[in-house]
Amino acid sequence: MLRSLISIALMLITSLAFGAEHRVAPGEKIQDAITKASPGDTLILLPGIYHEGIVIDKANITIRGIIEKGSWPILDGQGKLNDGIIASGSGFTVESLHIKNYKANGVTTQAADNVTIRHLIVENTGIYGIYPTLGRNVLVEDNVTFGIADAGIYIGMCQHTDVRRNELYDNVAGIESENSHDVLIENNYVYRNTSGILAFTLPELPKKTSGNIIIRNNLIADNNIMNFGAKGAIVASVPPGSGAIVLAADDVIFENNIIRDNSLAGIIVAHHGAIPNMAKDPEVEPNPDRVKILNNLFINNGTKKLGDLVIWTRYLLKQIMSSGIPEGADESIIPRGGDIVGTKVGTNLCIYNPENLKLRDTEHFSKCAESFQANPPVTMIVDRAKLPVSTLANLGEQTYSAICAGCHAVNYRLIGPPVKEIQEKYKGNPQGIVNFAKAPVKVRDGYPQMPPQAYLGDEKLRAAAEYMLQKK
Amino acid sequence: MALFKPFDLVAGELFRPMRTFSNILVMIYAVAGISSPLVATNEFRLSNKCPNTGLYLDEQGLCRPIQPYSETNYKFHGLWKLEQRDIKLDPRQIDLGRLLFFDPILSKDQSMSCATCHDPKKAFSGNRPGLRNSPGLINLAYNPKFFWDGRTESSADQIKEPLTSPLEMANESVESVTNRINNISIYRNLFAEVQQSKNQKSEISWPEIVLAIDSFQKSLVTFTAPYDRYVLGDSAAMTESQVRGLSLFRSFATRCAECHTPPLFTNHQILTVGAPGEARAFKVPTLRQIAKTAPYTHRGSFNSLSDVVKFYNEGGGRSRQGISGRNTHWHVRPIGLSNSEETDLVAFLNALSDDSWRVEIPDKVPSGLLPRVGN
Repeated sequence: MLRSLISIALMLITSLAFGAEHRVAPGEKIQDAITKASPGDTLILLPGIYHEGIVIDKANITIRGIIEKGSWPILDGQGKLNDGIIASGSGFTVESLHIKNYKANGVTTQAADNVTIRHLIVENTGIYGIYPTLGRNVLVEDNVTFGIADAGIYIGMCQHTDVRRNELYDNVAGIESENSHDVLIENNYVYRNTSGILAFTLPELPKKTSGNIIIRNNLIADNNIMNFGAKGAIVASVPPGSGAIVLAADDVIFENNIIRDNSLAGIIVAHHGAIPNMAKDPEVEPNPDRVKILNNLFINNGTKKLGDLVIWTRYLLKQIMSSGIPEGADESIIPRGGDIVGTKVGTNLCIYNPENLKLRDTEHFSKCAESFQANPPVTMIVDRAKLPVSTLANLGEQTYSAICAGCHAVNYRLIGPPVKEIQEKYKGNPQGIVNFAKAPVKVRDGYPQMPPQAYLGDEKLRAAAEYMLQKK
Repeated sequence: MALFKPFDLVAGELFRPMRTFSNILVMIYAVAGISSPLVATNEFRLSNKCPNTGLYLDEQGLCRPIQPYSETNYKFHGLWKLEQRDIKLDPRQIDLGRLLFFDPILSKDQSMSCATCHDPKKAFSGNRPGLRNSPGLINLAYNPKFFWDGRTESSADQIKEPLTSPLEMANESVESVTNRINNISIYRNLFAEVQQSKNQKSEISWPEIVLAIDSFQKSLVTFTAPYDRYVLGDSAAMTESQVRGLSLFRSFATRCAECHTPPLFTNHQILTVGAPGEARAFKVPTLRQIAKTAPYTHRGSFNSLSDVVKFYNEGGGRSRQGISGRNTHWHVRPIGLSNSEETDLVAFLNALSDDSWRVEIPDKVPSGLLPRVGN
């Protein structure tokens, strides 16, 4: 009880001290508001059009759109700007925006933990729609993503990620998990893409494995469109008509999905050799292992209509022109479809109801013992408190840790002089520190001149100075 | 302390008999159990301070990297994570390694030092026409693999290769190097000093030599460029053009940061970008201090950073025919940057150099030979 009271009190103090709101209206620069914002602040975007690519390098920033009578705030790159939003600060949240027409990604987070990306419309971007990379604790939910030349949602080298309740259509790939661990892909509508859901372990990346991926309760239907991926991209090799593909990933579970009308296959379980021109990486194990296809509803997969055959022929010609006949050609080029297609390689693979399904090259699969997971995890996201996120309540400690500690360590020289020396010089004189920090001059040889910190304002500077003087 | 100057400080080779004499003297002192004035006084005193290469002295008197990529700072700034390594270097080992690094006694014909090819003016890289460029040594302490092709995972093996390669220092074996160093009394004094022994060492071993050289090369750390100050909240640390360049660098339009991942600006992978003459995959080099390391690529094919940026902008190896085009990493493809965007990207690459970072080149080395720097 006491603990929860304290934590509520802490939250209140934190939100009072570090929870300012910055409203941005069309015609104003979002980036200017980000420059002004402190960690913990929220940007409110009013409806209308913004032509900007924005970068957020502060922690705990929220960007929230206001939707009024159906009118959204729209970030429009007009086919000229590179990325809609790049964020590298942990604790980043973005919600309720319409992001479109960017040359690269719609939203990307880079090495940020505790990320929430929700309630976005992401449309017509050149690479990914939503792309968290190298993050832990990533939640991607309730987004609509279409017209993306690679994956609508791409989970790159992340850990502890939930992708849920998203709608993805008219993309080359719907949802792709790449070299990631602990990923839950649940309750998504994934239809009319070239390929629906991909669980890939790719070569030549710093993370070498994939594992513990659950694909559950999704609708994966009619993923038969032409592959319009950029030449040279791995996704340009993804065959049209594939509902889901597991490529070299391990410990993947399919459960309770509806998988229908995918003209090549409902699920393909492949090794690297089956994909044209896959680079060889000695540190990557190229086979899919421990893939369980539990109880799913498969309807009418692996049947090509005339339009599917046209698309397939164009895909084949494009493949042969760009890379020649690949190794393992009989597995990937000649369309032998079914509900589940294996590529004869991989260990500990199983299917729950093989007798009900149209199978190809799945002789190496056994029959799964169970139809559902006994104790399925509800989420892959772990306690946020275990990851580094601000819990500091005191304004001085916040500011000191956020700004000062970047250059000043307590007992030794980091970039600037040690705090111990500053304490001697400014004993009983916090205002002296404030005055110096606002307009620093060069004091010592061999030390860079301190950058001015006036932008922090007197209140934060004074609090930081007082904190610094009693810091042990 | 300074009773008299040891003989061997007067240029080495001419005074070999005297040096032998001094060694005998040292042995006599050692047998007598008293410390030798020859050891105690030595113009080559090893520093117990850290060099000005991105290190600080901790409470134990060891040198550690100055790097702001701590958990505390992650809480507040958008920082890419640094895989933490427990790097602790003895300042005396660093200093001893520095003397060895610049001393041509390491090569068979005594004309080449490590610094001949790893030039401090070029962030310890070097151009060697006809051969692969010497890889820079910046932040080597964070490298899991060494050489352009990553063929070794241990610095001991890495140090051995240039010493014994016929194209480089050309020694028959590491024993011949060890023997030559053992013949120099000052080195035996210094190796004793580094182990805080009062008596001159009777024999320096190869692993002791490796430890000293390795300590020096691991001391070449930098995380204090304008880029680092910028990401820590000093918005004035980079120019507007550099800030735009950073956005391009991390954009998926360019995908630079996919392989040159901050804060080390490498992901340590071995792969093909299709640079001219690239017949195989090479290690992604760090971009720290990159403005100082021209010419670029393993062969030195590009003279300026703008040539490198142009090469990638046009699609790197993907725009070429043949083997390198086919094997080019899937992140490399035509980008379509405008001229001003190319300029911004080059400006940003300049923000990865710390100009205050420097290594003192010794004006003399224990062999008495002239220190060699650059070629």
